Amino acid sequence: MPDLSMPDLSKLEIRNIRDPWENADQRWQVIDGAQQTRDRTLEADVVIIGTGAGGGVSAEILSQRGLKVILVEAGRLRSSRDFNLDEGDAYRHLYQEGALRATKDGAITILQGRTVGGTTVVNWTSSFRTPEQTLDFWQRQYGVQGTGRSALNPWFERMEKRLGVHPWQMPPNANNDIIKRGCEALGWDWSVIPRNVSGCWNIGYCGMGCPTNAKQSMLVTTLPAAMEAGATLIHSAQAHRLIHDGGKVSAVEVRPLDQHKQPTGATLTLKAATVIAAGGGIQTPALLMRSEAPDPNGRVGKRTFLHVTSFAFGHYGRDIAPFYGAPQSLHSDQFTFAEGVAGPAGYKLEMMPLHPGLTAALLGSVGEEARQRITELPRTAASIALLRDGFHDDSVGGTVELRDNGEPVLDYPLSDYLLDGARRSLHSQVEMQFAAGAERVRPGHIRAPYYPSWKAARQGMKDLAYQPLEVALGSAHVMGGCAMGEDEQHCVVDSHGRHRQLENLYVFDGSVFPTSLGVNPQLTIYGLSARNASALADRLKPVANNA
Amino acid sequence: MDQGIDRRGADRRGIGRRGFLKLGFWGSAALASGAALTPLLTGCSRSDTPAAGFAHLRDNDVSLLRPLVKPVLGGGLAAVPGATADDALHAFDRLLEGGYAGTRDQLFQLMDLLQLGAARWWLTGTWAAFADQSDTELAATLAQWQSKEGFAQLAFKGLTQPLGMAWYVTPEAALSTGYPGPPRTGNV
Ligand SMILES: Cc1cc2nc3c(=O)[nH]c(=O)nc-3n(C[C@H](O)[C@H](O)[C@H](O)COP(=O)(O)OP(=O)(O)OC[C@H]3O[C@@H](n4cnc5c(N)ncnc54)[C@H](O)[C@@H]3O)c2cc1C
Ligand code: SF4
Repeated sequence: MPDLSMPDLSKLEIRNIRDPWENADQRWQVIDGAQQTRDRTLEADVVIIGTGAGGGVSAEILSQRGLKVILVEAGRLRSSRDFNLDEGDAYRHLYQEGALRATKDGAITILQGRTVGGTTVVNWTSSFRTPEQTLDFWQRQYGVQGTGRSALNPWFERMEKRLGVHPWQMPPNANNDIIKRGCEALGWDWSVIPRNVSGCWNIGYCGMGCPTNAKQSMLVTTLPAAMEAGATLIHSAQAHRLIHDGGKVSAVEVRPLDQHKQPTGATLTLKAATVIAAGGGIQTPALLMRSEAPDPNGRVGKRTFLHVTSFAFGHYGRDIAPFYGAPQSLHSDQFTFAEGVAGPAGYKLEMMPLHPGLTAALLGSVGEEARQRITELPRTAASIALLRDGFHDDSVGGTVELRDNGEPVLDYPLSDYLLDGARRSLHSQVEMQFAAGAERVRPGHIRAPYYPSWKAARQGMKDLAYQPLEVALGSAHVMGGCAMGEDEQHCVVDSHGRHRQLENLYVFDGSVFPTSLGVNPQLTIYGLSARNASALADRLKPVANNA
Repeated sequence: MDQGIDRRGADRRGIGRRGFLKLGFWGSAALASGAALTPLLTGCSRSDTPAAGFAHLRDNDVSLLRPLVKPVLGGGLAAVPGATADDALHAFDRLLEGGYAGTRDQLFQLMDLLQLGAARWWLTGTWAAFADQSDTELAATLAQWQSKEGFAQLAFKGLTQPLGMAWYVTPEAALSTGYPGPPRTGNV
């Protein structure tokens, strides 16, 4: 067995990291919403709402084409000089709802980013191209055009190059090594994950804001490039609604927020000929709903998808140090499409990093049992299974609703279809971990103990009720709610992200997916947004020698 | 809307018969459907003023939760030298800082509900106020509560999960798990 133990990284000093946002106020046009107390109107060619995967890529392409771009971001500007690797600070400052987001019935915890750079600032860097099966399904079911794998490959290549995506070269950490050992023992598929990093220190804090700027998130790539090309960033500012006449958006009404995320009371009015919504799943549909954007078939916010994720925890009689090292480096597609694209829910197997706060929440329980479990953290491994939702008639995902105060909530009823997928995915994970040499494994289910063997687990897991709140479920991938495609009944935007009724509104983010993906979403969003933003740039400002 | 417990004019720890019947109705509906807190609880009157030193938790929340901290965290509180239940409640308060107002409201509604003997009986299986139970009794109450399903399970998770998370994101409690801590960045 290779020695994959990590040194104690708490002694490591990370100093003198170059921060692209150093003195940003002096070099670039940065507006801090917290300081905006008077109403103002600003104008641009394009306003982009949200600075995550879709917004960042679009901003770079459009501003480098010479278009005047204003970016609006609800989160505050934070960069490597602010990232202190404190778990609580990270959730409070970088995540939607301070990482307290959950589906309406509390059954699924949702992690999503909320900061300049969006979720790319806190994601775990796994970078996969969209599976062919998924793209074919979109074409067949939703008439999505021009998104065949061969048509998209050049866009994936372009973004892989831009963001330094390469299969991870270093050995996996002990946590990820479980995929290799378990899958090899069982004869299951596994492979190395491509990551968007450059000079990665292999420390494992991707989820708290990379302190070394190795992660090629939007914060250190496309956004600085857009700023350099003359874009304006307004951070700490929430786009409240689009002002429109039913056919065209004339302006975006923005509420600047103070340090406590409360409106300062001022209103910024952003006028632009073109508006791009890139707030991500849940947020973009919510913006359209708050704006009362035309929605003749009642589709906005419907078919919002999570990769509903189940968990299993293993003990191996040695240190795993799941908090250190590249968080995800190996994965298994043994079960992703095993039953066909539209059969019983398929799932992708990966590992997840564990830090004390989130782990305490995931492991659950109270009292001595909770204490016992959390103090085993250094020796605990955590596998996850991402369930592919949206490919079956019984798998319709969730619906975004608005509270009276305009806050979105995702109603995501857990169908028998998904719960059956959760059950099977727990079996696979537990089997894999025992095959990898675990001494004890516990499926993420509130009634499940740590089982001492695969035999005992297989028997014991038969008696568990696979019900909401009993099975521990979470998700870090929010998709859909503004489906793209040519089917007018079901699609909010066309195959290039243009809104069907508001002619100068585009949606360039994960909310345009007609189903979930079956892989971690970032590269799909980068590729599609690059394609769509380039087409938009060609329309708005044809390149001279092309024209 | 008067869908939940009407506590106006009722004793803080008491509950009107009419409200109780309604709670029973909404309770079984919630159990059957796994519904969220909101429909059950709309109608609860509540105070908005945070307790001294807190940004969100109100006086009643602090006194409700204080006795629960130690039994919920098991040895987690004692593992940090000198830590008190109020330290954990301040951590909880800080965690809530990141949340939506609407999400905090649901938690407040749950805590308002738990002030009522009948609701405690229904959710946790015990009438007695948490403050009137010994640590051993509270441990038994929590075990009983944890074994329930549906709405009681949601309430259990809704209260205990963020409390545990809030505690273990504090650097001191994090170190007590065997986690050696993050690399040093010099950033604050
Ligand atoms: C912990 C974690 C780990 C992950 N790991 C991976 C991984 O390894 N690989 C992978 O492929 N994916 C991963 N993901 C998911 C991936 O990062 C996201 O799916 C992707 O970034 C979504 O892109 P987006 O453009 O749709 O929105 P986002 O990147 O979420 O960006 C949206 C931004 O818009 C802002 N916004 C929203 N509404 C408004 C408004 N009205 N006004 C102003 N601003 C607004 C938000 O604050 C946010 O910053 C992970 C996610 C999480 C949470
Ligand atoms: S593992 Fe690499 S990319 Fe992730 S936080 Fe550490 S240095 Fe950054």
